[in-house]
Amino acid sequence: MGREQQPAEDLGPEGVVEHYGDYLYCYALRYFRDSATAEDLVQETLLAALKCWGSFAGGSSRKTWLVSIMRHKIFDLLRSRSRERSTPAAGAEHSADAPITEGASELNLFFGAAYGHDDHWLDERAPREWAQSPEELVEQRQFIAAVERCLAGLPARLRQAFLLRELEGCSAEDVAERLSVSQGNARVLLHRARLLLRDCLEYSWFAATR
Amino acid sequence: MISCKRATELISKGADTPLAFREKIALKLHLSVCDVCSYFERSVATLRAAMRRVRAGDADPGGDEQVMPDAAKRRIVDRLKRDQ
Repeated sequence: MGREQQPAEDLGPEGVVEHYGDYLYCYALRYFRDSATAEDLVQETLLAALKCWGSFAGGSSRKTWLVSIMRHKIFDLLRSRSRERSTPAAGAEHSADAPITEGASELNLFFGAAYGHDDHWLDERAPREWAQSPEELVEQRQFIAAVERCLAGLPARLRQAFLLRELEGCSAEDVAERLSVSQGNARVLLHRARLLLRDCLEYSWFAATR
Repeated sequence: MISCKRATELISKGADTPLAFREKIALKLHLSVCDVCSYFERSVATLRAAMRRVRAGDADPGGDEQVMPDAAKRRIVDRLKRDQ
C-alpha cells in the first residue's frame, strides 16, 4: 500500500509530519514570511486533516487534499489580519480605500519624464525583451525558483494579492474581499506586484543569463 | 496617446478583468508603437504561466528546498499526539 493510501494511524504523527510537513510549511511561508505563522498553519492543517483522514475519497492526491485544507486556513488568516488592519480604530490610513503604499516608491524608479512626455519608461528600468517564450521559460526549474525568490522579496500585501490571483486562481473581486481592500486597491496591489516581479527577474535572472 | 504608465496599468487590469472598449483601443494603439510595453505584456503572461506551473507541479514550493526546522516538527508531532 502506498503512503497516499495509508491510514494516518499507520503513518503516525511522526510519519504524517515527516511526509507532508515540509511541503505544507513552504506553502504557508509563501504567504506569511515568518516561521511561527507557517508552523501554526501546518499544525492546524494536520490537526484538521487527521480528524477526517479516513474521509479522504482519493479523488486527488493526499498532498493536494492537505493543501486545500491549508488554503482555507490561509484565507481565514489573511481575512482576519486584513480586518484587524482596516478597523475604525486602526485609522483612516488602513481603511479598504486607503491608498496603497507598498511599492509606491519603486514605481517612481520605473517611470519618469522622457522626450518631453511624462510617465514613459525610464531607459534603465524599462522592460527588456525576454528572448524565450513564456512556455520555454517555465520549463526551466531554475526559472521557477527565481520567480519564487522574487515573490518572497515582495512586500506582504503585494505578494499575497499576487498569490491569491495567480496561484489560487481567485478572481480580482475575491482578492479584494480576502484582503479587505477595495477593488481598485486590489488592482493596484496586483499591478505593482507584476511590475516589481518583472523588475526582479530582469536583474536576478535575465541579466545573469544574457 | 496614453502614457507607458497608463498602458502598463491597462495591461495589468486586462489580466484580471475585461477592459472597456475605449481602454482596449487605447492600449492597442499604444502597443502598436511601443515595443517596451509589449515586453511588459509578455512578462505578465510569463508570470502567469510560471504560477500555473507552480500550481500544477509537485515541485517543492519556495523553490530553494526550504525545510521546516526539526524543533517545529517535534512540536507539531507532540501536538498531534496530544489530540489523538
